[in-house]
Amino acid sequence: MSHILHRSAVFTSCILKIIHMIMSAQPALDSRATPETPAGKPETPAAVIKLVVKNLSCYYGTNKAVRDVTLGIQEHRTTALIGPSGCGKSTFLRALNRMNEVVPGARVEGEMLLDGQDILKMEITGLRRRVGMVFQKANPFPKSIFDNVAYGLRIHGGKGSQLESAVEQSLRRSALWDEVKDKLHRSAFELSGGQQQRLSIARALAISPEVLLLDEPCSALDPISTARIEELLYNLKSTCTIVIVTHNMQQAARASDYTGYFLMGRLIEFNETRTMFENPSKQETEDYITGRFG
Amino acid sequence: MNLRSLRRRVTSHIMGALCVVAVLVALVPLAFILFFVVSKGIGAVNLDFFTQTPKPVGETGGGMSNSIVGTLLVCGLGGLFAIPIGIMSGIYVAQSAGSQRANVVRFAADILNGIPSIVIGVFVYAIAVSPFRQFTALAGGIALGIMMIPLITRTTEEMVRMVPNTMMEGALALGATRSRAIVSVVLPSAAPGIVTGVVLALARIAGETAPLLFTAFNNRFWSTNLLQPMSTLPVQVFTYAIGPYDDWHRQAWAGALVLITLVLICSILARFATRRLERMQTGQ
Amino acid sequence: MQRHFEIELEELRLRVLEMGSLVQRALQLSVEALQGRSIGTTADASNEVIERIEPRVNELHREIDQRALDLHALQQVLAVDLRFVTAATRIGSDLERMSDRSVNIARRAISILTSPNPKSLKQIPRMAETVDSMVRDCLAAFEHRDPTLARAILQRDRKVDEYRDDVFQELVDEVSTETRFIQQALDLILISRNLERIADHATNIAESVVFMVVGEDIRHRYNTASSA
Repeated sequence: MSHILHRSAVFTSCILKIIHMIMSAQPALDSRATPETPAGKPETPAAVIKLVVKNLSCYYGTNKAVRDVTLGIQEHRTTALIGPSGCGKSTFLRALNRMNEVVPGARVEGEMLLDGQDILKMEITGLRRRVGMVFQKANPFPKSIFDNVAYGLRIHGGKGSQLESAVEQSLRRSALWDEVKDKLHRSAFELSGGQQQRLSIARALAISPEVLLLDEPCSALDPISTARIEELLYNLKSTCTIVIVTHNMQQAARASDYTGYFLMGRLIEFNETRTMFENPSKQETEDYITGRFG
Repeated sequence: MNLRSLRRRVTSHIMGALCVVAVLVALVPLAFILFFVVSKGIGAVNLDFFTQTPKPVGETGGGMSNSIVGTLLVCGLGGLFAIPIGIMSGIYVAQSAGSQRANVVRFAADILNGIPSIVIGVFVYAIAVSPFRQFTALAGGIALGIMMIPLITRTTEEMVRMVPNTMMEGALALGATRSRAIVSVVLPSAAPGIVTGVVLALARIAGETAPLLFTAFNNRFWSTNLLQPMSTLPVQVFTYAIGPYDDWHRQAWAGALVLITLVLICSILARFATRRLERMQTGQ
Repeated sequence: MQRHFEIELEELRLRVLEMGSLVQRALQLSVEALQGRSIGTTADASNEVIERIEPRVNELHREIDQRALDLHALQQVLAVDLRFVTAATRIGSDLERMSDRSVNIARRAISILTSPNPKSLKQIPRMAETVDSMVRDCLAAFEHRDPTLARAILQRDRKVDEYRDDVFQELVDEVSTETRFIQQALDLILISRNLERIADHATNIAESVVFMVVGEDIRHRYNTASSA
């Protein structure tokens, strides 16, 4: 009898040891709470390169606005592009969804890959569905708020009740729903500047783009509207990849994970935002950031 | 210093006064025309004028009901013909602005605009009346349409160009094709201006007489048959004005009054429609 | 609308509080080591201070400075936030020095207890108690953003200086008659010196708290300068 008890005791303690081993081998459940990533940040999946640009040059006629730029845009992160006026950052941004082709005489050389696919060979309306754009000045269509947001959906075949839920979701993501839910059928021009810009963002988000390009989205807005938009971009990161061009360095510092500094068409430095603003590698970058130039 | 500033002020006042005088001089013919037409024509405007057709030659009375309806029909035909062509050409020119093709089309429209109306009438006579040995309202519509095209093209082009490029870009960035973007975003935006342009073009050709003389000609009887000659107000006014009878003269003035009124109504409608469309856009 | 940088500010605050509670513990343990009845308990207490608490305090110091730098560079903090971040940096430095001083005390405690006929002075425990209360209060003032509590601490620093001078005098008198206690006396003088320096750092923290809350720089106004 006693050796049965003994055997079961040994057996039980073996089981307990095995369980203990398994439990301690599992990674900590809350792996977010490391010194680098404090708990409380929205869950962002591991980083992967979404857009690869290799030796890109952009021409307007004979004018070479972007010179031989190579960089990678991380998925689910915000990448900011800064630099003085005329440095080519906006031209570069527009090349990413081929909006530069709207201008006659524009052409590009080099390679751009979205998830490995060549952007220049993709069907252009399909590309623009995956890579959306928000412009410097809000450009609502002469339609109702609802129709503005639904525009992209209708183009790509959306109909009926799925439109309503998609429009609502989109307006919620742009932090505009509460302000417009009672007046969806009023003209978009009735909204204030900041609201119109958020509407433009909602419009772009409605078709669920994988990448969202923003060309100086806050330059025409007051600080409160700007803060609102920066906050919503921060929350969008988890479902979207964001590239933002800004002439406001402080905005790049506040709102991005990676920053690229452009000067006269060239990419001078591309780095984690923290490093860029605390200890940049290139002298030109430091001169710009400290305000000693440009 | 004091003398200089005094001289400047005096000069400014003189120039201001000259401007006022110029405006008055410009308004005087308009005032005179209105005065004459109203005073001479109002007497003959009665119910008969709007409901009866012309009486046989020599008899007094009768009206211009067929001419009024004829004007509306022929102008309508002209619009039907010219509006789609004009708007589409206007969009074409606006969208390919700066290119050689755009310049060519614009130049052609300007030349067409400058061609004397009687020449257009003779041309349409040659292609649409003579081969069929028949004056028709249809030919009249074609002639008026040809006159309207350059007007509509020009205003459409200008209105489309005034739509900020960012609106088109916004639509393209959402994955719209160029044509879809134009139709769904740019045109609605330019609509108020385009409508104004169309209505003003209509108002302009409503009073054209020369081309109608060779195409729709005239008709003493009531007719709404587009393949027959048709009476129109300008032609009827012309016919009566050069005729020998006083009664005819009075009716001519009345016809002129009705014509001016029709044009005025057109302009008011244009303003009304424009303001309505603008309100829809800006949400005021 | 909560901005995400407010989370960053809170994280910084939590690090300072963590560092503060560690330093408090280090002080308590090193005083315990001093008053320990046996070598064993003294050694345990000292070990915990030196091996476990001090490295973590240093790590937190670096982290606090990095977070403060990030908040300045990336968020351009202003007004109350700017003062808070500045205060947090200073407090971090003061806490780190306090931890170093506690380590010194812990080391000397072992030395005292291993010497023959260990001496104990009544002044030292009293001094330690005052210093401990100052540390506790300055951290509470930081946690509750209480400038009144902070200002009250400044008065007690003078008392601590007096204690230190008393200890010095008493020990000088003693060794002038009995030279075999020189080693211990020096240890005790140095321990009192360390305690007094911890009190100075606590007053620094109190001054930083006042600056943080009301924006007034009250440093170098009170005559709490210690003599060498």
